Amino acid sequence: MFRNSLICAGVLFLNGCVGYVTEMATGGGDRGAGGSGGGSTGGGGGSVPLDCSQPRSAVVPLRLLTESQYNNSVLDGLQVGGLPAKGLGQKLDDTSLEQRATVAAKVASQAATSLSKWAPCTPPASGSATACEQQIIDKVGAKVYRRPLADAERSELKTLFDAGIKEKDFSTGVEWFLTGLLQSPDFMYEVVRPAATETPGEVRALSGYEYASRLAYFLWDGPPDDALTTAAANNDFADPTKRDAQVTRMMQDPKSSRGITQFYTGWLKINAFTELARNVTGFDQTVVSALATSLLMSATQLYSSPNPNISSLFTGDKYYLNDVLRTFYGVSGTGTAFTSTSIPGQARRGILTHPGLMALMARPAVTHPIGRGVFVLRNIICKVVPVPPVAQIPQPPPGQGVSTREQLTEHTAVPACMACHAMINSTGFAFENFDQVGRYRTIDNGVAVDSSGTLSISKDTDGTFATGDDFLAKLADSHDVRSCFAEKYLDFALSHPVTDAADGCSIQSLGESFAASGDLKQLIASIAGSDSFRLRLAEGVGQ
Amino acid sequence: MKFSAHQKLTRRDLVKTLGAAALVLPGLELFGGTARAQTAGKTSKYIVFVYTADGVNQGAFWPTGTTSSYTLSPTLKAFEKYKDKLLILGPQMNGNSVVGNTGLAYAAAVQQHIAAVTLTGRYGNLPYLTDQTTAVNKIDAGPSVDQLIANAVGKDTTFLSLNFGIHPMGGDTPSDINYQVNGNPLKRLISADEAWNFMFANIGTPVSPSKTPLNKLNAVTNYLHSRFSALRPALSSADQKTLDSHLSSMSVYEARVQKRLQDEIDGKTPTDEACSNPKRATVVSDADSVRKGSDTETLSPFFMDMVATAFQCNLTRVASVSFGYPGGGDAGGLRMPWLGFTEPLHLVSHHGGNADKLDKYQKISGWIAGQVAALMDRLAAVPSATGSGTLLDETTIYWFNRHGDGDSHSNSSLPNVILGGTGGYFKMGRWLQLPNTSHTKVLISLANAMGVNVTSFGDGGLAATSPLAGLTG
Repeated sequence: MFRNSLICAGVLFLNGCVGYVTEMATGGGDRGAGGSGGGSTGGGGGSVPLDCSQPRSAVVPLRLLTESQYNNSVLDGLQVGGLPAKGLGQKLDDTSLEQRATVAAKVASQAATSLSKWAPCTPPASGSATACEQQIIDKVGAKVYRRPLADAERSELKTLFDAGIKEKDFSTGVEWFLTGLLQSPDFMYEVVRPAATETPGEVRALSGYEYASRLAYFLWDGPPDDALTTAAANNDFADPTKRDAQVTRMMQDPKSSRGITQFYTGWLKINAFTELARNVTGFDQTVVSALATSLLMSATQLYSSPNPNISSLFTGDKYYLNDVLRTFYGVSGTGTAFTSTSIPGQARRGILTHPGLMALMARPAVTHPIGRGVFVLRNIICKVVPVPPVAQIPQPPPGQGVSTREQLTEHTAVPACMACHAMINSTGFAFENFDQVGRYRTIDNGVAVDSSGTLSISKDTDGTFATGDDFLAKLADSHDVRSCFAEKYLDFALSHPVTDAADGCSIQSLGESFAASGDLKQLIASIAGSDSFRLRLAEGVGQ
Repeated sequence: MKFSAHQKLTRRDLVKTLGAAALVLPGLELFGGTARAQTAGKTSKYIVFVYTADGVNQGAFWPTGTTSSYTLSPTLKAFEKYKDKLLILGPQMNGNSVVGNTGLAYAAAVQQHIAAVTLTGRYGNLPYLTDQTTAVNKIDAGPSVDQLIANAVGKDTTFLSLNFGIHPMGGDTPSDINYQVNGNPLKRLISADEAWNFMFANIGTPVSPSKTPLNKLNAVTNYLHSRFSALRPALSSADQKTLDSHLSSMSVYEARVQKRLQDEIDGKTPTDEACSNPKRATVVSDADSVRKGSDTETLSPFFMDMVATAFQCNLTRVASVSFGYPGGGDAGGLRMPWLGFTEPLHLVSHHGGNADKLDKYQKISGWIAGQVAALMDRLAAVPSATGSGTLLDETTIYWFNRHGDGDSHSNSSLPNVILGGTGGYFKMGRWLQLPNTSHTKVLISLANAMGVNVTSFGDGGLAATSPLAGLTG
């Protein structure tokens, strides 16, 4: 796989092709493109088989909570809603930290006015409030740090709380205490502490509290609850049966929709809808945001069934449409709610032909088969597509009565270009029945649409297809597609792209079981139990 | 170290607190005076970095004529009245055609699009494809030249630098340009309210300000420093570096806010109208405006105004404004619907020789030139604090790009220009035709113009060891 990509890039570099394909490709996941890829899971390419007789995993560095994880943490812990962290981003320069301080102060001030919603006690109307202060410190401090407090840490927090009480009153104490807590590294980062005795290079299990935190942010996009904390204290996660029971419980909790939504938001590029603009009448903001909602629902609604299967993602002609989308796409029905609506007779199959995804990967006035092809190759099949070289051949102007397919075929006809564009174009052409806003069509610029193609990329999706619909049917049955999906989900669970050296064995095992079952919920449980997720490569304490 | 409720944190304390953590600049004392050039020659007091992505329509950018007598191109015609404050760092020309691989250039091996190289003179080694809504974009080491300058000249101002961005992030190509010494990118202020609130947090202070905010800041600061000290020794060395970098940025912010709150208590707040009641702007930034780019038409002039106000009110001496982000497929970041078309910059930058796309490509660059000219107007309207001349006379503006031609992602004939009075440092009013020339040399020249006496900058094949000859009088 890796060698193949080198040849492709090298040849292209010498001869040149127009290269704006990859900007539409997804982030992450394309671990071959950066040069570090190999491919125990990617379908050949002369890689050395991994030795999976010993457990493997990666270093787990400090990880800053994401915006949504911050929001969910203060929602679950302090009952403060309103997405206070929106826009904070992942930077930690002085400007960002000043904004974080402002957000922390706002959340603290709001929480201080509603103690009864989240605090273990409220101060007595008269007499000493010291007991309640200590309860808040112990309970809330541990919750925010996601681990028990040491005595010195309780004392640090009491100093801060006391300073606020001394300044004005108990409520001020609460406010200062929370303002500090929310800026502490113990809250802002997921922290993995090396054991004093560990040897760098050995593979060790995360501690119970570290695992509980990782699991909660994976499944709930939020902090651990009391049951997880108790399980951590009892070392339950070392026992696979008890661990599975926790995962099952968590998946039944409504909070699990937050974790699922985060995965599909990244995988389906939902954030890119904020910039989606097309030169089509009526394609306004209400259509764009409805498309994003509808696409996301196509995936997340599957999880309301007990055993959702990945095949449902790639099959079916039903989509969640509201009145805005029904009007825009000319489908009958009424009502402002998004309801599962059939779009018959259009050769649509599951999420890949969702009008939102088709619109997202198009140009303002025409389709963009390269963008669609690269997306499917990278995100659905896990095929490495190299970063394009410097462009050297000007794109010809669009001709009269020439289809997008014909134009692109001519444009990339140079053999060197075809080293990569054979697979990119074929994959992209499979979607030519859907125009730049995802409307079904059979004619493009006066020419009958041809959605046939041939793939030869050492995957089980190889072969010739007569129509795009046939290609989509191949994807729905493909084991390679399932393995790829498992790998993408592991990327998400670990919050970093997987590597072969650390995660190859976990990926192999996850891919095999998921290819057989296709059970989306079981995949999540399997990831939670995988070596990559439970273990870490030790670094030792720094000097 | 701990800070008592009434003890002000000075920059000297700050350096002590941070120790050697990530603050080492070779040959420079971070906040001291030795970083300033020893010569008493002419220097620029302020500097603005204006970044654009995706190159320009080369055929409509360069002038015609000779070095000292030339006619401005359609793109640069916004600078007609500032021809004597313009220094064009152009490629060699053969009539109206650019001679290949001349002018300012990066080493050929630079990753396409990625913006970090522009002001750091470093490769960056960032992954090309990362969803920019979650990317961090840390590079091996910094700083970018704007931060090198900011650390040297920012000791008397509220902010070391102020950085603004108009649709600065999106797509999946790293777009950060401002980097700290440790390689962390700086946040840019991206909306009118965010910028105003951040810069003018002290506006509207009551006549008798309470000491509570300062007491709170100090209490929280003591707690946080205690947390960082306790946690650090328990972590791996890589994690310790992350914490050190976090702590150093946090200390900068704490010192700034402590000073601001103390000034309020002491009644040391601005009195003149421009600084006590700075202009605000109403920028429509609902989802539709952002999606279509129509917010840019009012956001950009507002940011330019904020740069001038920041200089006028001694908030900073170093600013940057970035327009759009590199690449981004067909979303492509920057759109200017008021110019009569909706295609984004990246789409038209891949012009393929198409006349319609080239025309739109030129119009986008031309509009940005107009914004730079408007910044010059605004600076020219403010008298210098020295009593003679204007802020424009004391300011250097560097308008720079990541690419030469966007269609070929070219790394030469970069359309970079220097503007302003530059404090008399550069010999302006010229159109230079340079052979293939390291862009890093210009970064050294700009640092020198600000009195920062460095002779080398950048890293690896992009490193330079001298300023660009022939720029000064």
